[in-house]
Amino acid sequence: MNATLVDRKGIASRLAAEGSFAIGCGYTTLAAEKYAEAGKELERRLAAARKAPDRHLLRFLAATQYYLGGHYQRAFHLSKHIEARFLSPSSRKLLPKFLKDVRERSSPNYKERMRKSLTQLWIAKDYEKVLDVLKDHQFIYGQGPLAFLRAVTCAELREWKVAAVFYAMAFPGVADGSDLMMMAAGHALIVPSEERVDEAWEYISQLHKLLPNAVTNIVASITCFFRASKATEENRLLMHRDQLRYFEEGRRAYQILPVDRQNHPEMRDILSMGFNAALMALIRLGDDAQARVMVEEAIRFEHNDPETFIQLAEYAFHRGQVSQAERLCNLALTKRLSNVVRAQVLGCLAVFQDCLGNPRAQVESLFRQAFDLDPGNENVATNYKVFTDTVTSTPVNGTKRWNLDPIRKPFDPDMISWESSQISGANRNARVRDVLFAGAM
Amino acid sequence: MPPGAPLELGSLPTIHPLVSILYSCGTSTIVRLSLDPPTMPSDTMVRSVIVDWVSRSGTGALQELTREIAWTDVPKAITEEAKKWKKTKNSHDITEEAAIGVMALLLHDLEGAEILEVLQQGSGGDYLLDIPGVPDMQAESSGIHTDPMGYLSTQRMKEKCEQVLTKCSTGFACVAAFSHSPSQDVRCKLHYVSRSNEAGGDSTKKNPPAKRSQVRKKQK
Repeated sequence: MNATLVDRKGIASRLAAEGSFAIGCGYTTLAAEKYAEAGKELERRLAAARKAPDRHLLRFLAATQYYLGGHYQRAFHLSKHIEARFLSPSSRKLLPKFLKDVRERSSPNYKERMRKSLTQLWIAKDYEKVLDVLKDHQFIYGQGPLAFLRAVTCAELREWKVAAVFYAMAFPGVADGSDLMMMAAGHALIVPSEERVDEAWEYISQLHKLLPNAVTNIVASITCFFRASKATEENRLLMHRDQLRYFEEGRRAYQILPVDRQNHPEMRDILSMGFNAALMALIRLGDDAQARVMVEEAIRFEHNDPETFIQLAEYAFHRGQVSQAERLCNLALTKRLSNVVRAQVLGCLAVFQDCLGNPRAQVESLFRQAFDLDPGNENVATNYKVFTDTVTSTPVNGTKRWNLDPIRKPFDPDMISWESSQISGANRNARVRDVLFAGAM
Repeated sequence: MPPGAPLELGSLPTIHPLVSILYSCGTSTIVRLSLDPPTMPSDTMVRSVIVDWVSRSGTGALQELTREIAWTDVPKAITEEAKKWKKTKNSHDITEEAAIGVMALLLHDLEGAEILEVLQQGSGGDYLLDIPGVPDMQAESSGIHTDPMGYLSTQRMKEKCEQVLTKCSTGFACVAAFSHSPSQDVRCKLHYVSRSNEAGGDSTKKNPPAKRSQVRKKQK
């Protein structure tokens, strides 16, 4: 007897092939359905079979389909009635291992045991092994968590394109701006800090292609900024234009996020970084008008963030708009600031007022206030020294002698303090472990 | 098929309508022919395969020929999934499935054979063939990821020849190595074997006179 006789029309074979394809794609829900249908088809043939060898072969084949589809209880129930003596020698040889596997996987603690084992492998950073275990035990998680685990594991292995593909599979039901979406996109923000901008781009461009949304657009814009910083002059401008296009798309998508997602700290941090990078791009492109618009929009977005005011003030100062710089510092001082930041702002304000020709005592007073708040602030001290040593008159165009490095820092493309690694990486391992343990997202 | 035209993976449902080889093995075949081993350019859609062929209707002599396998007409879903494959399927399974894909194309092209059934895992892993004009026979296939010196293929071929003859008196054994010898070619051995000529240790001998296949007649 051969399979042609038990599956004359090839129905079970076709269903099993579709199940196998679905497994390879990671669509385990579909795979489970296809294999279950294949098993049922063979069971229908079993009901009609007369001879014992036919019946036992059909039972074995049906149990195999259920096993491959993760229906271990059903496979176990059927396999209990397979009698080896009725099987052909080649099939008989395979039966003991099959029965052993079915018994193991139909046991009540199978999933829990496998999840623990995976968790240990994850903690041990044996990522290749994690993937191998998941290849053999696809049904210990639902389809979404399985894809998620494959995604994070591939990301650890720096296999970015396939990581993006698995993330996209894990997220169809997860809203834009969700924690997991930010976690997925966050890889692209971590990698540049390791001098691997091209990898970051490879990853986020693939993820964006699969999931074009607020998070991926904004992160793509930030990654473009990194690329532009390392590019030749000619390519740099093109990359900045791409960056601004992604950023605009991201902002549009951000506007329609639910309010709680818009206000999520990580989401706001990512958008804030996007603003910073976009501003720098506009400055590099020489588009002062748009740069000003962008800063105003950044202030509207982060109206409580003094850093934005400081950035704008610095921008204005270096373009000779000292009054505007002074106004922005005063605005910043109306916000709730830490002593260090307030001292920094006061130090800047002192410089701006000096440049505007304000009375010396008024400038001195601002420096003193800054020292009171942060006595060790080296930049304030440096500027104060310039003020006391060299300033006898205060020309408005005398901006160059002042040390404004501390507030220049956020503008420097290669020195932007990307806190993204903290944002996206801090809880990542804990989250992955949660999924490994619980098998749920 | 015009001479020299590539064997198209997308034709599998037409040439073997009773089995779903394209879905069960198509992606694995693409992976082994284009991604691993070795990594080909991303737009690769065709790969040459060197075939060591012992034909059913010939003298038992080994012929070396080259065929191209293409996947230009394959549904997009099958090609697009290829990048996931190495992360979701065991390397061994991918190689075995890829060997089936290659064998299915070559059996039809060279012998006019149609695969009637691919048995499920757990039932022996053999394939029942229909060649017009001759009794049904079986085929065994196996794949090798990398065979740096070619020895593994030779050894595996012996095993497969013996294996196929334990189940029937005549049949085909096929071994595909996806990186063969230092040149890293894809090389596939497809040998007709007959139990009547097995004595003496050489199981790939000329077949006793048999009816010519309809395909051969058509070719003439």
